[in-house]
Amino acid sequence: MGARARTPRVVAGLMAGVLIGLLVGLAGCGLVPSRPEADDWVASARQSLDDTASEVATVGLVVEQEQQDRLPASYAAVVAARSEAAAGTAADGITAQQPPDSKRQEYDAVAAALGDAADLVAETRIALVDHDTAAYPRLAERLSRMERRLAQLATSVGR
Amino acid sequence: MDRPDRLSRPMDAVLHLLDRQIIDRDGLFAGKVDDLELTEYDDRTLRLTALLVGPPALLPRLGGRLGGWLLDMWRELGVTRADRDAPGRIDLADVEHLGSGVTLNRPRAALVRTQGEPVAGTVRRRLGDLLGMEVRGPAGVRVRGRVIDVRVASGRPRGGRYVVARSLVVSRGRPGSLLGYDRASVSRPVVVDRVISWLHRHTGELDLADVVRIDWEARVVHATAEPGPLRAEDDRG
Amino acid sequence: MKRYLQVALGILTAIGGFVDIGDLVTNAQVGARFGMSLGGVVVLGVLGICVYAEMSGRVAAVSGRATFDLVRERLGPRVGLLNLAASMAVTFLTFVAEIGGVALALELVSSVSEVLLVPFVGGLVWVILWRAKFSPMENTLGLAGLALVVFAVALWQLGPDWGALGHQLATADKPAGEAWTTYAYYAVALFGAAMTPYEVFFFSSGGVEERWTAKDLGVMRANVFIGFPLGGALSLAIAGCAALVLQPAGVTVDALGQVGLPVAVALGKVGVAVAVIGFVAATFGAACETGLGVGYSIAQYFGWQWGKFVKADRAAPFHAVLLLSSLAAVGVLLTSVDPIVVTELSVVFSALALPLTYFPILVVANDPDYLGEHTNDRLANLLGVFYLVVLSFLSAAALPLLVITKMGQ
Repeated sequence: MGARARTPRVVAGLMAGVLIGLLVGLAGCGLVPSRPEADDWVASARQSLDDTASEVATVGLVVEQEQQDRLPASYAAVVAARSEAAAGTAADGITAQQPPDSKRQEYDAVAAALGDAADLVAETRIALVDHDTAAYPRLAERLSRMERRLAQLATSVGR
Repeated sequence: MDRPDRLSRPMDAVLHLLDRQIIDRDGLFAGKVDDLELTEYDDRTLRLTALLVGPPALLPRLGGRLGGWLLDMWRELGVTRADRDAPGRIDLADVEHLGSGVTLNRPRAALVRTQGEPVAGTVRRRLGDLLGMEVRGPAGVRVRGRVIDVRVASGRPRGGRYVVARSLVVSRGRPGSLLGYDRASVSRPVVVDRVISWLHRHTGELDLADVVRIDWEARVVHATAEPGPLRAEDDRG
Repeated sequence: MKRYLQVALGILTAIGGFVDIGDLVTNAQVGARFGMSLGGVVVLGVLGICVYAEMSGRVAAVSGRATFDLVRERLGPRVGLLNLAASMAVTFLTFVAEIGGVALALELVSSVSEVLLVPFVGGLVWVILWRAKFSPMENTLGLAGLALVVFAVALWQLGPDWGALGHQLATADKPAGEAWTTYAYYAVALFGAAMTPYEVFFFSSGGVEERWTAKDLGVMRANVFIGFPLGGALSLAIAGCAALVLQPAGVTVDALGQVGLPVAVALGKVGVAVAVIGFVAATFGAACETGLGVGYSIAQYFGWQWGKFVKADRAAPFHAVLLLSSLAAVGVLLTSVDPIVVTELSVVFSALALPLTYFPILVVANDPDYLGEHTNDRLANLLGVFYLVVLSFLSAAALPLLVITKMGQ
């Protein structure tokens, strides 16, 4: 009964595979943050800046439409909340990494911009949920300025 | 759906019957043709006598490690059963019509039985075991290719269906890999047809009259002649 | 008169049922990033699904055999089983994405977090799969899905320069600054979204459910050749709206809410409300279709009784699969995985799995044993072989592109 004897071995092999896979997977989530090469860091910084800029643009568009009363309130609030969460994730993408020594200064600029952007998106979400129409014009202006700042940073980082 | 009954004409057991949907008298589905029961008589003729259904019929056909492993699992899940390896059987007499599916002449409730003891002087075989056998020609020389299908034709009805195997289709492909392109009926799309016919240009037909012995244990067919070219459906009787 | 109503109803449900979460998300993403430059892929994909669905619908009508019957009959039990595992995995992934999509759409109106809505949506889908009759289910959800026509109206309201849009579409002009690999990745995703395998499992099994015969071939063809292209036009309208509003604003799409923003710009609150109804109906309809698709394929492989044309207790194993897959889908979504990410994966894996079921159908569609006089004609075979080549190519490209572009970053 060769097949019968093989069964436990197959299962054992599978289990071992799963365990090794888990170990390798978890190794990446260690307490000490990963240390990317300079080029990789620049690429992921750009990605984070682009993603955040898109979220800032999204809430900008939402505020603009809310000003003209063209969006249902719950819809606007949900889109803003999703963007807030996404902006947070994008910022984490870069702040959770150990920046290469050569990129320390750029790291500070990028992290500051991402943090400011996430704060601004959160502030906008609060205004949207409160339906604080008086704050909308100023928020719209700040959001578009933030978009420009992020875009500039995305082109200048790594140069 | 009113196309003629395949069972009353010559056909290829794998291509036209194996793996088809079984449909009962009331149009309800009753499983797939997982394998076919062949009955081997004293005079070495092989008759197609029943449809086999259920995991014990299907899993051995999967072959390789996967098939062996699944069959083991199947046994272990019902380890106390003596008949765990016995496939379910639907007699050919229960078949009303063979078209794109197999229509039965009875309801599906309590349809499937176990095979039971064979009639004296006969041995039960499975089509799945015959497929993939190697073929040895005159003087024991190995023929390139393996058995991929069995051509059957209905004999004179003598108390129910009587379908007898006439020849073996031998090819270098695996069963099913020809997709029917080597048989007359399918001819298009031309491009796919050409590619597949070229891949299987060595397909041949071995008359069972030229087969001396089928060694079911060693999985070898001993024949006195080489396989000839594949005959078109109209030439077969 | 009744006949014409029936044809019209079939066409309308085909339009409304065409768009699902994959089409919504992918078209909006591509529109926002690449304008209309990938629109040609949608056209290619829609023609492809027409060719594929027409063949499998014809086989189902004439022979009564659905997709996975043919897969096993033609490829044998072993290759058929591997094929089943792969196709079912993709369909299940799509099922997860659709249920997540319903939850995301409901989140937009209720402000209740999507994760909390998932068990409710999953339960509702299962109850419908268990209790509802086939035709009313398909017709209601298909007609409600027509609410997405609001995207076509919005596009028209936005008053684009049609010439420029058409030029982008015709010349496949890749925007500067996007890499070719990313462009190719989104082309594969868009194709996979337009030509999802479950649509064909569902279409051919639905033909058996509704007991089509050779007499229904005309109606079936009308559904396919009028309904699907108009559904595809809705996809293009979604992409067009995104190209006009989201691309200039610098928004890339990563949430369902963003897909509806152009409608707000064009049509205001009412338009958005209609769009949300469309989201819910389209994703809910597709959730039912993919759920059934999982059940259909596994039941067809093993020959179990399947379908909603018999009482549930006569098809117990089939309904057990529906229940288990609904539970499993809810379980996956409760891990709080982002349904949009699941959607992005599902469309790419759809492109990967397409040839598996396409090839056996192309072969059987030429077999007079199944189809008698209704086998493929020259044109059907010309297109059939053309798409076989296209599908094989895209299938081979899908995984490498997924890895190289890190899911289109």
